[in-house]
Amino acid sequence: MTPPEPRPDATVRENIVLDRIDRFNARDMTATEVAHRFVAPSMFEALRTGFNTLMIGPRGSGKTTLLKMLTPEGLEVWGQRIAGHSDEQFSGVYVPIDVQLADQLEGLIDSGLPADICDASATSIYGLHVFRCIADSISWHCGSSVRRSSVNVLTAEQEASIVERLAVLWGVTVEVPRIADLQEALRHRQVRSLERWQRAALLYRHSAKLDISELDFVEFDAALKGAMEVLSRRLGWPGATRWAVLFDEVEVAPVVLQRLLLSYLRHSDEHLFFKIAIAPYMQGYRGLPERSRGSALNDYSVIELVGGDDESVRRFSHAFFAQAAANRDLPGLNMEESLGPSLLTPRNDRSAASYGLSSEQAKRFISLARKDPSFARYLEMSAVDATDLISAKDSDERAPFRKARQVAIVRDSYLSGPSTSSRRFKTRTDARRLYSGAETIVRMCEGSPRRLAFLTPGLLEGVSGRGRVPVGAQVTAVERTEVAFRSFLRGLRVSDGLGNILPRGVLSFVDLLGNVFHGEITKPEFDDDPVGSFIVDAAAGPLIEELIARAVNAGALVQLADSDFRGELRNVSAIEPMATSRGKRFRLSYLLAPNYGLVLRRCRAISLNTLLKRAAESRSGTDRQVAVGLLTGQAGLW
Amino acid sequence: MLENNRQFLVEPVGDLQAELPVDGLLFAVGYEQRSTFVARELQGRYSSGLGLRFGSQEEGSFSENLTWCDAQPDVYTLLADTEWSARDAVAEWLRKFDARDSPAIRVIVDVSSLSRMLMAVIVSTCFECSRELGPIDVCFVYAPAEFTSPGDEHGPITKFGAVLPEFAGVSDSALGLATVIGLGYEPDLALATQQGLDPATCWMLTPTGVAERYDQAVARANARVLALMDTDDVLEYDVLRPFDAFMRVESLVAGLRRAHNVVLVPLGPKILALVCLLVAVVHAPDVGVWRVSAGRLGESRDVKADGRVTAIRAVFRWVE
Repeated sequence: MTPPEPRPDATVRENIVLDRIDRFNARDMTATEVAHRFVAPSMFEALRTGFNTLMIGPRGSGKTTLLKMLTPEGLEVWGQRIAGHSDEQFSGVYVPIDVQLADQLEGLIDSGLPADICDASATSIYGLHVFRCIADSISWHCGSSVRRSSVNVLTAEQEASIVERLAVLWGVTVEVPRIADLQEALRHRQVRSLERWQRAALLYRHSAKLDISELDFVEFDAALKGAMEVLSRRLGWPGATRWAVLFDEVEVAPVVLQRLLLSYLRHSDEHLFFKIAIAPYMQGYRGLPERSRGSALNDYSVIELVGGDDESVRRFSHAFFAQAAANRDLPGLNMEESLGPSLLTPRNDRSAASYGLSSEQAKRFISLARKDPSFARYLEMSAVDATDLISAKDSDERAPFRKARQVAIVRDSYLSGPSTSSRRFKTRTDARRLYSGAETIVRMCEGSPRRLAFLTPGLLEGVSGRGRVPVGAQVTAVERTEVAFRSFLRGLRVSDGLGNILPRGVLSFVDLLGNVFHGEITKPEFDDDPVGSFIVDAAAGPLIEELIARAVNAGALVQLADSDFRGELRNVSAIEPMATSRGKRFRLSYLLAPNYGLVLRRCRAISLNTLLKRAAESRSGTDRQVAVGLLTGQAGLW
Repeated sequence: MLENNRQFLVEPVGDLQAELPVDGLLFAVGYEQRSTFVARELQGRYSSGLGLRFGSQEEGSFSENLTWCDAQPDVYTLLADTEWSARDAVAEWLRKFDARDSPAIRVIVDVSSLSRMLMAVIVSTCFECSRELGPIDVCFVYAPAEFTSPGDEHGPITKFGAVLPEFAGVSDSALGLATVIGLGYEPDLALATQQGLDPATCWMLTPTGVAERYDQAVARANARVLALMDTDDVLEYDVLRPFDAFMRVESLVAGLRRAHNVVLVPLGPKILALVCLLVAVVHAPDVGVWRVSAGRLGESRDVKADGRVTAIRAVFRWVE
């Protein structure tokens, strides 16, 4: 068999990339590749300021893309694409934690060595990784590198001077003072450090003896700050006198590292500051000493990537779609025109098209009123004539409809014809067509670049000659995206304790929630504000904490404002990482709505305990089993 | 850490009978009837048999297997319920053999019912012990099972990571991740794995050659992920020709390594897990071998060997 050739650069193969299952994560692209397809969201300008920043978002919300766009490489390439974006106040060093490093760090923490040794070793291994990332960043400016800047390039003497100083600072030896040699020396030291730690752990398990001198410890903090000072002083061009270290995926690091990195948000000087991207739930924030905990008001700014205002999300989604279309040789394609209007979430609910007698919406209301006496009673009590909304001059007369609209439409899709003896339900296949149209798809993606990146190729595959994507193609693309997301949730690792309760891991819990919320929409008596969110009880124990943390960080659950009156955003008092789910309110991700038949709006909340008790009486054996298991696990706490 | 100053040779095995007798045989004592199949078939052709017990899921054919082991004068069993107890058990067993009068210690390891973690422990320990005991010549054997229909569920995922720390793989942050995922018949487990690892590029390995019904079950269980893949990125391997599988995976990995960090996730037949471990040794320490499983919460399915046995040889040698 012929070994596969390395994949061609994405700038060349953009059209191919869009059709593949892989490469939906900016983590795996160079900053150049990211910059070539970058669509700037509204918060990007705020992120580009020279202050400490904490960026919070679940998987797929675009954290990695944004951080890579702050590197000299990303900004240089983007500046060439978009005029007027090249004058930077600082240079960024991107520091990810890939899955292999995360696994090594976790293995180290669980190795059985004394805790302080584990913590110091994990910090050292991570430190060497950070130094490698710094070296990778410098290589962009070195004439000896294959991939390099076309603007700011060091002379051979400058490169040698910086490499020699960093080699001394980081305790490695280079044969030739070139960046590639420094990178190789750092890699060698990292591998040897891992080897020494593994051997020490093996011997410790056998003999309970530990020779600390055999382990390789790194003075991470001093070596990091010293390196950034070297760069600040020795790189002459504007923007290189101040550096930002961009820590990504911090939530997968051991708690000791989470705390160390979060404490950096208090640090800022003329050479160095930090931008940290995390998932919403951060175990390490709990227990972070007050003296190490920065203030969101004084020390750093917070950027939340989920829950932005509707207009920002809409603009970003439309721009993303247009660029993906242009990359596919479909220039000028407009999301609104290609996908058409949405029945479930029309953009303008005051228009004649929305409320006219012949509108699809009015037909659904009338249909439901005919087959569902409880809805007919609701209309009667609301004193609104479903057949004559368009003539109603006072918009207040439509208000009940605005509140009930989505619930009524979904309910109508699931409730079959009138029956005197019992209510009958349709299959969910019909209802899937509800989840189409530009506005609904924007809402289901919730501004997540990953969802858009997964969904858009499927939509574009179905484009007809007139630039329209038929509803059937939209349904297929949404279903494919949802299946992949559900599979991701299915594969999320859980503890043995949770595994004993949840036969399908986190997905079992998500299914339970979806089924309960759908049951609320289709229950015998029509309810214009059904239960569609939950509040975690104050006495929730560690299993619930783990479950919520995993679901939130995966993007399956979205935190809502605690108050009930408006908005999707977390409240202002919560502009810190979530360290506990207790007392907090959540809904399911809208991407999961088609599978269960849910509405795409904020709904009423009940306590998780109450919700589980309801599910414990469910007809679904699996939901019942999961609910009873979780309730039993909490029995001593509630 | 699997250092590259260790010498390693992988060869095909044409005729298992020609390998006999050997110094020892290592196998699992588990809930599958198949776990003692090779040990029974080769009875009398090895001087010391070691049966490793998992310490959990002692159901199905476990009692029968244990009873058989206890009745054999040349077989003993040890508990290997943790990585550390397994390392001790394997090292202790290897130290029983005296290779002074022969070029190498020669043993057979039946991987059919071993966990992926135990396989990794054996590979790792063979290298460790070769430093002290001289070359260790291991004939790894695999007995395919008679087909039984897959269950609807594969249990909650409680293990998602390297089979052992030394098989995590050493990454380069400037490179994207490439995964090579073996397909089994657990519904959508490969898709869950792909989504969980979220690689820059993903290849799938489809097992063939066991039974038509098994092939169909694998295709059904993975229909959704295969629909999302380029067909060029889906390779077949013959379960009954492990050396060919080794060559195929090794050449794939050699190509991928030029531009990626590589993680192998051998779902499906256990022989692929062994093949992946051997490939990782060739490319140590860079290439990872990971497991995605329900661990002890997985369904225990008692299966019988279908009578065929296939083999691949690896020689572990330490060079100072």
